[in-house]
Amino acid sequence: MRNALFALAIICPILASAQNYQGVVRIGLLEYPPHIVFDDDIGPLPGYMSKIVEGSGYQAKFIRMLPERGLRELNKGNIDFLMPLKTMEAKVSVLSLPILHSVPGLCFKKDKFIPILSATHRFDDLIVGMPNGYYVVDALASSQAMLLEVKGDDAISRGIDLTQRGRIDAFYHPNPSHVYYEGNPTYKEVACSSFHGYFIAANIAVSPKIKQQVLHAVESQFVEQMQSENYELYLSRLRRNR
Amino acid sequence: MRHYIFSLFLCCSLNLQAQAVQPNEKAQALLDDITKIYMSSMVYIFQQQPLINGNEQDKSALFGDNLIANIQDVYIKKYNEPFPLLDHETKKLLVQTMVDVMNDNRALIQDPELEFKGIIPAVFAFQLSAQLSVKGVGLKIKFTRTSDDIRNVLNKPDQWESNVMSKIIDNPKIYYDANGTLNGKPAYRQFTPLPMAPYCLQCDGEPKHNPLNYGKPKKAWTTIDMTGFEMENWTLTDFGGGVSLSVEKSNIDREGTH
Repeated sequence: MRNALFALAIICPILASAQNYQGVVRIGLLEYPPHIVFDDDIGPLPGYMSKIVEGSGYQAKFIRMLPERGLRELNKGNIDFLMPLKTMEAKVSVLSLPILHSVPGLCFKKDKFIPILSATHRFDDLIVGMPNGYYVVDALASSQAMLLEVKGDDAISRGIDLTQRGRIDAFYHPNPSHVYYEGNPTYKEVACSSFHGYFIAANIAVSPKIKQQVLHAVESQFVEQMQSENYELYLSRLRRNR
Repeated sequence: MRHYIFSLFLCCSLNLQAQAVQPNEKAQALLDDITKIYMSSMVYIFQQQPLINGNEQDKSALFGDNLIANIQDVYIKKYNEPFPLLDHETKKLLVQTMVDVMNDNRALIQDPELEFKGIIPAVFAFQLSAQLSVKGVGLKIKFTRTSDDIRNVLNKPDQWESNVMSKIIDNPKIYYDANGTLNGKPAYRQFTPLPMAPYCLQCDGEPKHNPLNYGKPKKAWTTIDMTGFEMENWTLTDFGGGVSLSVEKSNIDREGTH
């Protein structure tokens, strides 16, 4: 009897809270350290998004995905949103504001490292690999570097590999912190520097099959939250309180 | 000695206040605090160049709470006054962003295979400004100078900054404007001139100041500084640019909201 009452005490609030939601919003997550990390601690971005979805009257359900599958499921309508996504990666609709920004940069073999990328005259005659479909910052586009497009789904890892083997002088990376971090066992010979002041926006992609009622509710809550405390400010506050 | 002279210049510059429509006392105090904390962090980064570029295992002085404590020490010595209370969200955010910037540079700073990491005061200050710009808090801070002399095109002065510099270049004083705008909204603006300091000359001075030339015969000197730019041949009497700060008025009134 005591156990039954205990179970009831636990289940009732869950049922009550579930009934408060108008439904479930399915959000595909792409790994994007440190914002989304596929381990026990999933990173801060899902927490921020969860708050928005709940504020709009829905319950968030997160599903970890690889990029290719994520886009496929988004287009099929099996998920409602996919994040984060850079707009040039795929032609999909996105929420009206970017959720975060990354700072692009160049990764070099260490003996060719250029620490300050505003010194664009140092790019003269460099062969710089570029992943296909990414926005190129003006500092690089207007320099005398020779840009070499690297195609394919794994263009970024192939480009870094080419750099490490000395086949190209540098590789343009949309977020070098994914490659250049302490103890990365894969790319020990590479060092990266960033185009500070330039940003690549990362967005939340929207399924073409999402219910308009859900989209409007989430979008309006998203804009309200971003105006009140955007994700990057939220992240600062989290770090400060740690 | 070098640091002393630099500190003296900074202190002097902050004691020379003037011009335009003055913001109210509360706003002016906040602007002053932000600028002085920002400048103290630049001085600390300069002082720590050997640690940043060296191969020491323990670089904890550059990160987290240690970083803040060390910047506080610099501030106290430089301005001979207590470090400001972090009693406004903007000041808290500035300090946290300093920690974030150094964390973002952690791989570079800890890399034993790179002799020069490129984390000099101007670069640190620029990274700080860039990170603050995406947080949506109505705060913009940058280290700039006259547009003909700028190295990083992203640091070019706007019209307001150019006008202010033309007014104060021959008589450097802090310039306040209570009728400015930022992101199309009413804002307080402040420009604090930064006289050339000896450490600036290592990059912006004459080849004899360039550490890459130390101990070499004159005919072997390079005119390219350690950051990869052509040296400007400036002297201590040249205008050193300044710190431009813009804070939306709504931000000033929003205390401890987050």
